[in-house]
Amino acid sequence: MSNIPDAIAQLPLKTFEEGDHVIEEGGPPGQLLFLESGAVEVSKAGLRLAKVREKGAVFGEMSVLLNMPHTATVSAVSAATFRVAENPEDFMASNPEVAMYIARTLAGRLDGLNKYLVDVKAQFSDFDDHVSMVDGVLGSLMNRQRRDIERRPQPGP
Amino acid sequence: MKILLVSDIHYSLKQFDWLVQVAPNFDLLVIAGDLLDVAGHADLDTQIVVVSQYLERLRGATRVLACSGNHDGDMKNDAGEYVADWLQDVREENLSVDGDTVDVGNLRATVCPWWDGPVTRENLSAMLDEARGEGSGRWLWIHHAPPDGSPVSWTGKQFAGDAHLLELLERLKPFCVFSGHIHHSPFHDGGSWVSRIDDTWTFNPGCEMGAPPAHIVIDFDAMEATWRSSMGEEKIDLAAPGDATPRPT
Repeated sequence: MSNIPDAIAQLPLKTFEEGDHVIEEGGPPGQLLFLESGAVEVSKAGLRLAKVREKGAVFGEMSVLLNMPHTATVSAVSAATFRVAENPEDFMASNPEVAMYIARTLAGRLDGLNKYLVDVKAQFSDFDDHVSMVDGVLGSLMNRQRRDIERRPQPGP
Repeated sequence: MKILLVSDIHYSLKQFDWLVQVAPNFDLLVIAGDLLDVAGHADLDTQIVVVSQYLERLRGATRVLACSGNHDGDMKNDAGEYVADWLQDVREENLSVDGDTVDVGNLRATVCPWWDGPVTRENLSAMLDEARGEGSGRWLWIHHAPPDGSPVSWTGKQFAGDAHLLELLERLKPFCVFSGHIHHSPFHDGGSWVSRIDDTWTFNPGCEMGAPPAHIVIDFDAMEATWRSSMGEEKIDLAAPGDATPRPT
């Protein structure tokens, strides 16, 4: 990953051995971790989602930003070292270039997801079902301010 | 031993879906490069995620051999030549990729990476010299670019194959080479999906839009190969190497 902010290199290093869980799915938000060296695997419900070895790859950011439990498990597939921010919100507030770095990472993911779905819609354009609506739904989701609508308690049976 | 050969899927989701459906009917599935599409709408990083998951499904259905093509590079080596590093990550039981040589029945199959410059080309030569080893079976190469000067590399105007591959064929004499790359060779006058160079059979199924993809079924028990595409079906008798002219069925 290019253009890694200098502030990240000032964070303390933490080393994990092969097989160690760096982040546990369902665990509470806490640290923000940046991969320094080695490789990790991201999995959800035991299913492998991705293998990551790019220096500067960030983990724990969704959990920190949305204050929700971790959505996936990150485990070391080789000895791996991370730069670790123990107080992520303070770290981002005092280093806005880090907040921008994470924002760009998230925007890149959103852009990749968007292009994937638009391509699915194009490749299955002869389907007259929900797939044909994908680009319209995406357009709405991508260009609106997200509302956090409270879920009312489920009524009884 | 019944083999399904496709190439140049170029991130066609419908073609991958079709492969998942039919793969259990074959002993071996060969994807001869260009699994990705550098001109596709989805970015290459996303395409790699999707194609890796297809390969995972396919290896659950049959044994799979997949080589890289010129669309599949995701990294440059120290010499600045593209390599398909992501394919190395998907190597698993039943899924062989660039650099692998495996014995399947009485076949020895070598999966050749796309060569993008002098360094990767020399690596390929060295890899094939080593893979030759002591295998006693028929030697099969999976190599994205077809040999130059052959009907399987005919664009309709010129031959656009790989001259280096020709040298390798002359020196190492494999039984057959599975290629792709030149999309329309089988569809042009003067081109073909099958040809012969000395004692080596060469195949290129060609590339069409939509599903099913143009494909070749090679049956080494019946010693025949069948090409299927929008043009219909053609067969060739592999036991009669003197006549490499396919016939419509």
